[in-house]
Amino acid sequence: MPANTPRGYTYPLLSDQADFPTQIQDFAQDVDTDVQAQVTATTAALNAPSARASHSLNQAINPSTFTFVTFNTEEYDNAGMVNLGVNNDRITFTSTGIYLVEAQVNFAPNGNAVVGGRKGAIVQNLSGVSESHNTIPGIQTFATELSITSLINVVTIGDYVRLRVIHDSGAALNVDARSISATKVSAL
Amino acid sequence: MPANTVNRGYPYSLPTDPADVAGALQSLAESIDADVCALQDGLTGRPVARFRGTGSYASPSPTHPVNSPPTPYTDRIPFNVEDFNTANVVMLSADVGQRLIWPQDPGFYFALATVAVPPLTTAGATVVYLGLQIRLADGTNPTSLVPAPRLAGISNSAPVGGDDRNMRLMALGCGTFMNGTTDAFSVEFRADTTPDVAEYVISERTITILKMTTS
Repeated sequence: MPANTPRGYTYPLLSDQADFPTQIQDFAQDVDTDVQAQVTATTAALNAPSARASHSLNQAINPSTFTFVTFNTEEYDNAGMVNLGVNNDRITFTSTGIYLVEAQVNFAPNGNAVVGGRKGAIVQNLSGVSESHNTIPGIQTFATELSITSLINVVTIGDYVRLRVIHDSGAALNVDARSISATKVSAL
Repeated sequence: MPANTVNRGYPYSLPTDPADVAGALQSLAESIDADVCALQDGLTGRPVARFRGTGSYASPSPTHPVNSPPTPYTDRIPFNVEDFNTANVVMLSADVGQRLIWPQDPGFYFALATVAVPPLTTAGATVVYLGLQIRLADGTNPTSLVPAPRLAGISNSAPVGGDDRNMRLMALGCGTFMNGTTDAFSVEFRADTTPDVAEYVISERTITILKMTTS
């Protein structure tokens, strides 16, 4: 009765009947399967689940109102994380781990009498998890660009992140160029 | 005639082959050895690169409209030092009209740009706007006006001062796909003041790049 190494390689025992062709084939195929599995795992590690979605057209944001921005272009997605036909405001994680998430949004120049501030936040669907945000004063004559970068621990497949904005200008403001991206940096 | 395994091609004897246990074992062992060595050689850390611009650089000021710069390459900040580079990324010349960071392999990249911004020292001038952007330029045509879509941007309307300990580090990250043929990163800094001044001098700047996928 052949035995196996801890990795599953089969080898004959002294008590086994000598059948070299069968035994070397069995061993070669075991090693082949094992090494191929390592190659597959290595390739997967070098291809982190990653996605980016963006939008360049105006979206009106009412003052003092939390609003999730929308996206219309899937620029990259190698893990089925962006599905704009179902939800056009999010990246949904399809595997657990630590993700590097980045979002940016461009507020149009302020034509309102009250300039106010601008805030953008990467918001997870998980309750009890603090958002990552950036807040800066608005500018009357120039666009206000916000960028937020965060590391997020995704523990449940199906969790998602969105980009939420708010401002307290005197009237509605447009955001134009905006994007959100995520890339996995570690599997826990 | 030995056969070979389906994935890695390791040779093994068939019943019809001449009996040569030693030779068959050696052939199989050497094949596995070479394969595992090749795999081990390919096991490296994630490809990364960092480029740095040393010394000061005078960014043109006053700024022009963010989305329609008349000469985009004048806003591009130059880099002149390669700190490390395992990601096959090319740093083009620091000359005006170059200044691009150009990945040579396709994949999804995460880039982080930083610029150290000291206070404006021109007497009587007030800072209205400081902006940092990462844009997608064309490495084969670095002076091209179009396309240079914005990948990410960050701005600030507060002047650099004592609250910043007289040095503000503007940092900006973005994740994006680069095609490995034409796509290149450009990092652009703009400033606007009242009244206008000719230039805004910035200090050290960096761009660090992580390659996250192989295609």
